[in-house]
Formats: sequence, C-alpha cells, structure tokens
Amino acid sequence: MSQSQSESQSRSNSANSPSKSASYKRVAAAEAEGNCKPVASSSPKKSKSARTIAKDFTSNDDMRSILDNVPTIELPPTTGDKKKFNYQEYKARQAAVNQPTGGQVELPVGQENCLAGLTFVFTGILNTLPRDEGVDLVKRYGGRVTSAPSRNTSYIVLGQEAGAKKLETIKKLNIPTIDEEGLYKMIRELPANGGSTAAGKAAAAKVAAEEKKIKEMAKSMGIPELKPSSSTSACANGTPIRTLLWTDKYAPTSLKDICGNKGLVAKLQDWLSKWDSNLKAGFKKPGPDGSGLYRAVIITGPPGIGKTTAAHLVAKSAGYDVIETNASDARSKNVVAETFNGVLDNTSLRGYFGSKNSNVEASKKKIVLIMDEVDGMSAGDRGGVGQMVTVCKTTHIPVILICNDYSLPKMRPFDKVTFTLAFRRPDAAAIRSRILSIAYREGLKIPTPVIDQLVQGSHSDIRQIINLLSTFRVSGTEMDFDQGKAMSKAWEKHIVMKPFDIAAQLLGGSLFSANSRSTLNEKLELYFNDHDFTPLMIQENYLRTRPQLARSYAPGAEYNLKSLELLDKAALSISDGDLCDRMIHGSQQQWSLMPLHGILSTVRPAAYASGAGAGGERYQFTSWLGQFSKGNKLMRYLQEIQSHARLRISGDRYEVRLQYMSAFFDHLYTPIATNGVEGVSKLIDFMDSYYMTKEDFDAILELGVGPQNGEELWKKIPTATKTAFTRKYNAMDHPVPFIRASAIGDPKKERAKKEIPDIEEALDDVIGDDAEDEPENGKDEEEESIDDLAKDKYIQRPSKAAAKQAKGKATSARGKKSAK
Amino acid sequence: MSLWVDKYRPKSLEQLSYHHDLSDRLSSLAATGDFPHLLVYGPSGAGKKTRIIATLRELYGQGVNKIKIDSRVFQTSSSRKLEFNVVSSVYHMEITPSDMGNNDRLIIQDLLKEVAQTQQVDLSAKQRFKVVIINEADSLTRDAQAALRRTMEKYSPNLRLILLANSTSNIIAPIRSRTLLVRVAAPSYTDIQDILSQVAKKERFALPPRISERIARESGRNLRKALLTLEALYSQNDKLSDTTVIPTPDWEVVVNGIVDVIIQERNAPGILKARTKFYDLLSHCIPADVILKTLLFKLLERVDTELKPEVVYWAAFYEHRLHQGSKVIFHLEAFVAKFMRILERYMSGMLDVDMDM
Repeated sequence: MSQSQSESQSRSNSANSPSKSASYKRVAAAEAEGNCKPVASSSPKKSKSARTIAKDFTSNDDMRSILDNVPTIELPPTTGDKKKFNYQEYKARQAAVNQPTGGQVELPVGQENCLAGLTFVFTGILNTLPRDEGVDLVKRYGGRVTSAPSRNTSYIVLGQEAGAKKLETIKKLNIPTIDEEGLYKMIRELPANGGSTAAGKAAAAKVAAEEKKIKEMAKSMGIPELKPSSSTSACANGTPIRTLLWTDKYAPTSLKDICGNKGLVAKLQDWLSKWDSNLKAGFKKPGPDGSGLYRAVIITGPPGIGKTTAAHLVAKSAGYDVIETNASDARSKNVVAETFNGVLDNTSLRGYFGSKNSNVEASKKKIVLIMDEVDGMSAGDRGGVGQMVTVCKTTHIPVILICNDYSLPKMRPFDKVTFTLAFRRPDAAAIRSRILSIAYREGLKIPTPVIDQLVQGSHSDIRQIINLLSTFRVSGTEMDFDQGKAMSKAWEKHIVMKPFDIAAQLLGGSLFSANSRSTLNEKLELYFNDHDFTPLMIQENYLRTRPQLARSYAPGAEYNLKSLELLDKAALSISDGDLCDRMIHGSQQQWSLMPLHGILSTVRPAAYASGAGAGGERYQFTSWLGQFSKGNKLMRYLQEIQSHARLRISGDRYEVRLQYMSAFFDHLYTPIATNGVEGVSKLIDFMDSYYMTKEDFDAILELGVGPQNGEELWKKIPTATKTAFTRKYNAMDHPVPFIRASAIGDPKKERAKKEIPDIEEALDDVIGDDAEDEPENGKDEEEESIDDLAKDKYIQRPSKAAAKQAKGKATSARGKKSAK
Repeated sequence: MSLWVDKYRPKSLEQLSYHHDLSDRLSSLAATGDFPHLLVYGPSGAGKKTRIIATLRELYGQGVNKIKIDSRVFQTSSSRKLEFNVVSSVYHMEITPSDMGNNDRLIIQDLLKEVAQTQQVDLSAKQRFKVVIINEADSLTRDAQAALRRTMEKYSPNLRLILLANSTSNIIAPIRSRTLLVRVAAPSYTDIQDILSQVAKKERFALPPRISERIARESGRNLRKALLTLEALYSQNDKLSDTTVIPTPDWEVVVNGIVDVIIQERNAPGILKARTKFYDLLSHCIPADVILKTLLFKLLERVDTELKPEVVYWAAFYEHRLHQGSKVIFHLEAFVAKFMRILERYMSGMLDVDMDM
C-alpha cells in the first residue's frame, strides 16, 4: 500500500505543480518519485480509481512495476474563460480528433486481453493516434473505453486541446493521465488476461459466469440441438432444420428472447390484452399510457431489431391468430378495402377446422392484423395509405402496423389514428448474450469485444449480425478482433450522406490537411454519395471558407494574392467540371466520365478552397436550382410577350429583353406612376397596340432588374390606381393575336389536370364519407355539359346573371368542401 | 400607338436607307424567279428581318404583310405535348425552333416537312415555292441542323429557306454550303444618324446633331437600340439638348454594379456579391454572353493598358466555355476570380508564379 500511496502522491504533486508552457511535459512516474519528496498531506480526496487500481494490482509485483513505469503526463492548466458554444467549431473538432497532428507510428502488439479490467477515457487530439484507432486498440486488448471521466476510470489518454470541463473533472478525481506512448507501453508489457491480479481474476470470473449463462441460454433455446442424425428432424412448420436460415432457426420463440425494447414490448402486450375491453368501451378510456384510445398501433424503428418478431410473439402470447400483409402484397386502395372488408369482423376458424390432435384451443378465435412495411406502400399502391387509415379507425380487430421510417410525409395520416411505439436499437449489452449463445450453439468462438464490434458496425442490426456469423461459420470457427472489424466493415450499411454533411466534410479542411489519411478515392466517394447536389454545394460554398493553403502567408497583400490564386484555381476547376458535366448529361451521355467530373467539380475545388469557415458563415444550400427555375419561368414569360408582340416587332426574345424592355417600361409603368389614374387609358392603349395581355404586363414588371425592379416599383403605385387599372382593363375588349392551342382544348381534360390531389386532399377525402363524393361528382358532370362554353375563357357569356349563378355554385361547392 | 422603331420600319427594299448594293442584289435575286436558300447573318439591330420581309414583298407582293400567328401542338417521343407559335402569311411562314429548346428537331422534322410536301395552293401567287424563315438559326441544335440539310435539297421545288443568324459559326458546314450567305452589316454611325434625324423630322421635333451622334455611338451600331433610345430620350425630356443624359438600360446598370464590386473588393466576399448580381441578371433572361461582353468592355475602361491583353484573353476563354458548358454562372464566376487575381497581382506588384496563359 505504501508504494501506491507514494505513487499517488507524486502524481498529485506533478499535477498540482503549475506548468506554464502549453505543451505537455512528460514526466516519468519513477523519475518523479525519485526527485520529489513525498508530500505528507497529499490531496485530501484520494481518487478512488487510483485506489482501485492499487488494490487490484498490488497483489502482483510485476504488474505493479509495469504500471508504475508507465509515463504519466501533466495536465495542462485550465483556462477559466468560458467560450460560447459554437456548433461549427465543435464539428470541426470532431473531425480533427481523427486527424493526428504528428506522423504515423506502428501500433504496438501485446498479449491477449492484457488491458482487462482497465477503463480508459480518450480526450483531446492525440499526436500520433487517431481517436477511433485508439479506441479500437484498447478494446482489442480487452480494455473498456468510456466517453467521460468518472471514478471508475483507470487512465486518461490525453491529447492536445482537451476540453476545459473534462480537465477539471480529471483534476478533481485525480485520475492518472497518460499519453499514447504510455498506452503503447502498457500494451507491450502487461501480461495476458490482466495477469494474475485481482482485476484479471475478476475479469476472468466474469467471463466464466457469462459463459455459463450462455450455455444455459443455449440449452433453453427452443430448437433441439443439432446432432449428426438430426438432419431429418423438423421444426414446427415442417422445414428441416438444416435448411433453415440462422435467422429463422434462432428467431425468438418467446417474449423474453427479444433483445432490447422490453418496455415497448410490454406496452404492446398491454394494449393487445386490453383491446377487447377497450372495444366495448368504444375506445374512450385512455388508460395509463393513452394507448386505450387507439384501435391500431404502429411500430417504428430501423431494420433488424425485431419489430415483426415482437408483433408476432405478442400476438401469439395473447392467443391471437395473425393475418399478415407486407410489401409483397398489392395494397392499393381497392385491394385494401376488399381484403379487409370481411376480415375486420371475422373470427378465426382454425380451432374449428383443426384436426383433433392439433394443439389449437377452442378459444383461439381472435385475429390480429399485422401490416408489415407500411412505408413500403409506393406509387403502385395508390390510395392504400388512406384506406389503411380508414381501416385503423373502424376496425373490429386489433391492427398492428410496422414501418421503418415514420418521418416520411406519407406516414403522417397515421399520426392521429394509431398509437406509436418507436423501437430503438438495442445496445450491445442487450444483444451480446444472445449472439454469444448462438455462436456457442453453432460451435463458433467469438470473444466479447468482437461481438461488441459487430454490434457497433451493424448499428445493432441483430439480423445482420446473425447472417454475418452464419457466413463466417462456413469458413472458420474462431473470429478475432481484426476479422470482426473487417467483416463488419465489409457488411457496413452504406449510409448516404446529406448534401450539407458532404459539403461540410469536403470544405471543412480536415480532409485536405497535410496529415489527412483519406485517399483520393475516399474523397471521390463523397461526391458519389450525391453526385447531383455535391458539385452544386461545393460551388455555392467554396467562397465561404478561409483557405488553409493560404494560411501560412503574411496577412495583407501576400495573403490576398494567394487566396485569390486559390479561388481562381478552384473556380477554373469548377468551370472545367461543368464542361465535363455537359458531356455526361448532354447529347453524348458519357457516363464513364463521372469520376472525372467528381474530381473536377468537387474534389479539386475543395482541395484549393477548404479551410475553416470565414467569419462564422454557415454552409448555404445551393442557390443555383432556385435561380435556374426562376430563370426558366421568366424566360417563358418573355417568350409569351415576344410571341404576342410579334405582329409589331421583328426582334427575337433576347432583343425584346435587352432593348425593348426599357421602352415598354417607359410606356407601361411611367404613365400610371406619374399621372395616376389618368395614365391608365394611355397604358391600356399601348398594351393593346402590342397585343399584350394583363399577364404580360405583370411579366414585364417582373422582368426588370436593378432600377427597374418591378416588384418594388409596383408597390409604390397607390392601390386606387391599381384597381382602376384592373377594372378598366377588364371592362374593355382587347385584341388577341392568337389563341393558345391548349386554351381551346378539351375543358374537361383541363379540369382534370388541375385537380391532381395531393396527400392532404386525399386524406380529406378519406376522412370525409366516400358516399358524399359520388353524387357531387354526378352533379359536376351535369353542370359541365351545360357550362362547357363557360369554361372557355375566350367566350364570354351574354348575361351576367348566369355568370353570377355559376359563381354561386362554385362557392357553395367550395363551402361544402371546407365544411368537411 | 406603337414605338417609333416599329412605326417607321421600312416596308420595301427601296425604302431601306443603307446598304444599297445589298438591297439591289436582293431585289435582283427576287426578280430572277430562281430564288436560292439564304443564310442571312449579322449583328442584331442591323436590319436582317426587315430586309428579308422587304425581299419577300418583292417576291410575292403585299400579301406577305398580312400575317397571323398560330399556335400548334406537337407531341414529343415521350408523349409530352408542346406548344409552338407559327407566324405566317399565305406565302411564307416564320418559325423560331429554338423556342422549343432541345425539341427543335421535332419542328424541323414535322412542321417543315409538312409545309414542304404541300404545294402552293394560291394559283395567282407569283412564285410556286413557299418561303420558311427560321429565326435564331444559330441556336439550332446539331440534331436539328442535321435534320434540316436533306429537307433543303429534297423539297427545294416547294420550299425555300431563309435562315437568320447572328453569326455563321454555329451553323454546320453542310448547311452553309447549301445556302447563299448574305451578310447584313451593322449600319455605320452616319447611317444611324441619318435615320434618327428622319424620324425626328417625321415626329416634328428638333434633334441636335451632337446628341444624335451620341445616341449612335451609345447604341453600338444597333439601329433598334438607337431608335428606342431616341424615343426614350424624347419622352423623358421636354427638349433635347447637347447635354441630355442618355439613359442606361436596367441591366447595364446592374453590370456597372458588378464592375464596381470586382474592382474594389478583390476577395471572396466580392466574388459572392458579384455572383448574386450575376444570378439576378441571368434569371431575368439576360444572355450570359451579353453579360460577359458588356462586363469586359466596362472593365477594360478601368484597367491599365498593360493588363488588357490578358483580361481579354481570359474573357474570350470563358466566353467559349459559356457556349460549351451548361451552367453559365460557373464560368462567369471563374472569369471574375481570374480578373481579380490579375488585378491584385498588378496592384501589389508581386510576381505570381504560375499564371498560365
């Protein structure tokens, strides 16, 4: 104990001694012990961690000396000033953590499980070791890594620029602090399995206990153990076990087998068990969790975490028969309506038809409808969602819906009619034992850290892990850490990044810093994440950074010139990229040029321009798309104006825009701006002489830029003048140069075109009674046959009374709709 | 009540006041009865269309001035319906295939063939063939031009084409070889001044010669622009004097703004400001090449002579790219960045190593 005391004293001593330099002095603990006199009253609060280590390891002198010889480092002084939290800075730091500032070093090789029983916390930017590699390293040798320092932390691995808050905690708890060299030393020198120390023993005992538990679990798994002769044995549904997929073979057979989400499964069970009484109560009693109000539940969550399994098991345990539909069935409005029409008030006949010996209770006549993959209802299932909502509102049997992505707009209709159970990914601890027992059953040997690694790599997708293991089993029986990592990387779910994240990563600077380890291909991969948006995002944002390549230049002229050079090169490359884009998307369709386009339009400009954001500017969404569609719209207007005025003028549309527009403006805007109402007749005269319509007038105002920005100028015109203009214009007849072909087309068709319902309307229809719609439609058709001529805007009705009547009808129809 | 530029548009070849030799040649062509396909090119505002309509009048008489506009509907191969406007008289038809964007080949194939396959119905017509005027022929796609070449030969008894273009550079060689090239040069300053004073006389107001000269110079030998400017001046001022300020078109005011920004703010925020203004112009239908050209000339007024060759080189470089590429803003912005770099290097007197030119 004396040894440990002196060590902790020396440590606290070195921690307390003020260090002025920002860089960290490394002090070997042994040396410090020799030089420093033991301070009698060391820190009053002796850190628990130090004590635990001491207690666990003093039993073994070799271990003790190794740990003592691990060089510790001093904590940097914490600066008191609190900076405001900056998200961009935070993101940049997160990226920098994986970009070591120094060169690379070779990772040490140590004994198996040598860090067992030790807990590490990484903080700051390490000199030679990227954070994630460091974490891997510790995990590989059986150590634990936590994110925040606590009493149970054995060592802090400290890098530069660690957070002030963390440093304070570390100081308070007096946790030994090492750098990566110290970590390497530990790994190289510590014996396997934590040696013969108490910690090692404890770890070993824990492993043994776990193994025992697993063996028990494996035995209790519903399926008989595989024996050579069991090839003919069959499971319940008659398929020989041998041919079953592992995922089916080891599918949970009881509720307690489900990994994670226990609370939600219990809720589901609760809801289902109370369903009948809730039905009797008319779904008026909310119950403790509010689920009593709903006839249906929706289970949401990522794939592979047991949503379908949970639904089936809950139904089974509550004695329900299951009717299941999923994305493989057509689920359009009609199909859903027809299929469920009868089902919803049916009872199961299974008990009635079952053979005498079969184990079906007579009571088993209840049915639950499980609708899987609801978000898979696609364009082919038109109206299916709406019909499903109706089903959920009226059903006489419980309905369980299952979907992956509840945030989709098309899932919104379910908000009000279903009780939502959001399943979460189970954590490694919840999955571990299940996987281990499966591995045991299949004769696979996988250490716990590897399982954790697999869980992490697959984002807790149990199904994927089992599939992965079954693949691995074909070639081997023992999986080590590296294999596990490689395997989960190979099976890694590719998460497509969003344009903003791509832009932030490319332009943030760390990707192109001198020591960046990312290869050209990895950078190009970012482009392929979203090859439509990435170039546009880069083009939008490359001017919003402070290029890091110019950072070393003296501020002033030199810096300006260098950054302009970089911007020029970036812009040139973007320009190159556009030429390349033309070859891909133009008439030539040279899709093989995609990588080149990626380099030119994305990687190269980012390489020149990347750096920290300038002046706290955020990355913007590309403005090109908006400007492009605005340009197209105005171009259509311009073409319209030109084609109307064509009988007078000879120029093409660009001539009209460049030369005529000012003259038009003079004759159209100036009269009413200067003379007010008196100018109106002059203005209308001019419009008629050029065959302009009222729409053309508006378009001309919209087409102006700068001093002729029509929208702003139009606001200055008094409302009285505007209404006078509109009234007078509408009261007169105007020459029309020609009638658009579409305007004289089939009015019925035109109407249909206008009334493409969006989702909300569809929902309204569904919520409203269908019966109401039909007579209305019939009426409309009658009206149409009378009013066909009225639909044509170039044919005016002789009497105003008729028009009024038609208007009245239209408003009443609208009123009806809104009343719904 | 129409604008002077339209009101005083000459109707016949004799009324045209400049390029008399060209008028003569056109009238003799019309007289031979063996009228060739024409490719008429020249800058805008030089009087191409006016001259052609006058020639048609020579060919067919008054009838060509009675024109109407029709709207026709076409169906693309993807069964999308497109509308297309056709201006026509009994004897001729005028189309602008570039209105249809990339579907212009459809017009050439469908509409043109349809016209070409029917003979002149009017027995009293002076000519047996009909004339089709194709506007903006230089913006026809390659496909459309290829579709055109066989039609020109096959149906020549029924059909004569007149292509109107600003330059022949975008017209493929086979078409150029099948047409008689007619260049309509921009009117000289004195031509423009003559016309301006004629118009002033007809409108009964006094036009001081100094201001007439200034208008002519400002117009860049674009007669249309000159006449519109004159009218604007006349309507905005009670009396024209030598000192009357000639108004700048709205878009040129914005280009001036860009010039100020990129000369004063030679850094990334400066480029961003320029980008906003570029977008403003482009979305309001100002062609990118016009922007770049105007920008260049305005920049040249403000930089030292030494820099001019380099600036012009890069402007030409990026103007070429405007036509090759599809997203014009990228190239405009790249030119701005290049110009800023050139100017910054010159101002700071430093040597900038890799300035490849």
